[in-house]
Amino acid sequence: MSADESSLSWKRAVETQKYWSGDGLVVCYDELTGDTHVVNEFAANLLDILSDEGVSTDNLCASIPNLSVPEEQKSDFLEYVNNILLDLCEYGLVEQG
Amino acid sequence: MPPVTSLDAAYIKSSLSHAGLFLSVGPVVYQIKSNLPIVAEGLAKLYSDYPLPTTQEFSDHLIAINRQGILRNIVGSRVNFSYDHTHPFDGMTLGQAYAFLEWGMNWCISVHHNEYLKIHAAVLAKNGKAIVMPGEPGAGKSTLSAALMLKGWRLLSDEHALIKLDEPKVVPLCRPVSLKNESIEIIQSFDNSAVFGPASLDTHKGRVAHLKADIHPDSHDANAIKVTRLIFPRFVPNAKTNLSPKTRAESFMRAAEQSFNYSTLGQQGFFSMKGLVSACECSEFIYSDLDSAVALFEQLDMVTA
Repeated sequence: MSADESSLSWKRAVETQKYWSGDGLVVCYDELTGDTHVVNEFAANLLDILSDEGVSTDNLCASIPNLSVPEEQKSDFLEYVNNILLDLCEYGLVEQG
Repeated sequence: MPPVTSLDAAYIKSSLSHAGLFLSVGPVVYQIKSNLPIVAEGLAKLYSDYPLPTTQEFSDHLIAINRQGILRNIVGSRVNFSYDHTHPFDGMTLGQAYAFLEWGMNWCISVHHNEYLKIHAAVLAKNGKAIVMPGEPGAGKSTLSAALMLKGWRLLSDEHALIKLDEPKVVPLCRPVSLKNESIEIIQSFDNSAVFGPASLDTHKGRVAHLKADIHPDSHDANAIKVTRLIFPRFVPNAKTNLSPKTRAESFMRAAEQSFNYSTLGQQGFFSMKGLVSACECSEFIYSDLDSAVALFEQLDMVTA
């Protein structure tokens, strides 16, 4: 993952209602469009952490509670998070900015 | 004129050709007008045990099914369906009139009644608990429902699960089961006491016949029933009967796909679906043999508990 990608800034695009189904998946209802999506619990946690103010992928990861990533895996983890955010961006749930 | 005590054939025929037959089905009152003998015959076979209407003044849905104009009938006997004096569909042949009526009655529910979360599903109940079985056309839900009903389950609906918006309960809407093509003979041989209405040939769904559905003692009880299971049935030729767990998230999405008004209801639809799915054990059900399918349903906790 490049330095540019890790410094991408993300923010919440819409308010969502969530159904934590208890089976590792979360149903998200987009209050703006009425669309419904299924995401994994980790992605749903990211949505809960994001706010209307932009935050970098680095800082977003740092604010995930109870998360400890070994230094040697940090780059892979940031890439993983960034890919999730790109998916959420395609759903219209988050945006860059 | 003596008081009417049941929806017998004479009463139905007379009502259809005058002010209309007021038919109470669950929370809905239809007012049906028709001059077609095949419609009177079908209604008499399939609805004779329905409760007498409590009103002749109000109906939710005024529908009529009659022959088209005389000039059109020179070419061939065609019938029209009208809803509140409008014609939402093209006509059909006279031989398809009865199926046309039942489909029209379904359509009334599909496009109205947003006071419920409506899911395209069969609904059956046992011991005061309901199973909602969503499925696309051809999934085999009607055939399975017919078999379960003939084995003592109470059919609440063959087509629409009317879910209360504020609690995971389903409102009964018991109407005849629509069977198509070989399913008709399968059910006839499954139980030779099954009562069918007129067969309609060469429809866009093939050969169609409707099965009398109000054969349970509680068939006309209007009270809502708690839903405890969501089962997604699928007929697979030669497959072994199998009930397997399905995640609630996936079940939510599948049920939403089969809903007539999930999107229309907006956030209310989301919360209603969430309430429904949360209250249910969710499963996928694959079957090919009706006897073993019914046997498996008889082992569900709702039956044995």
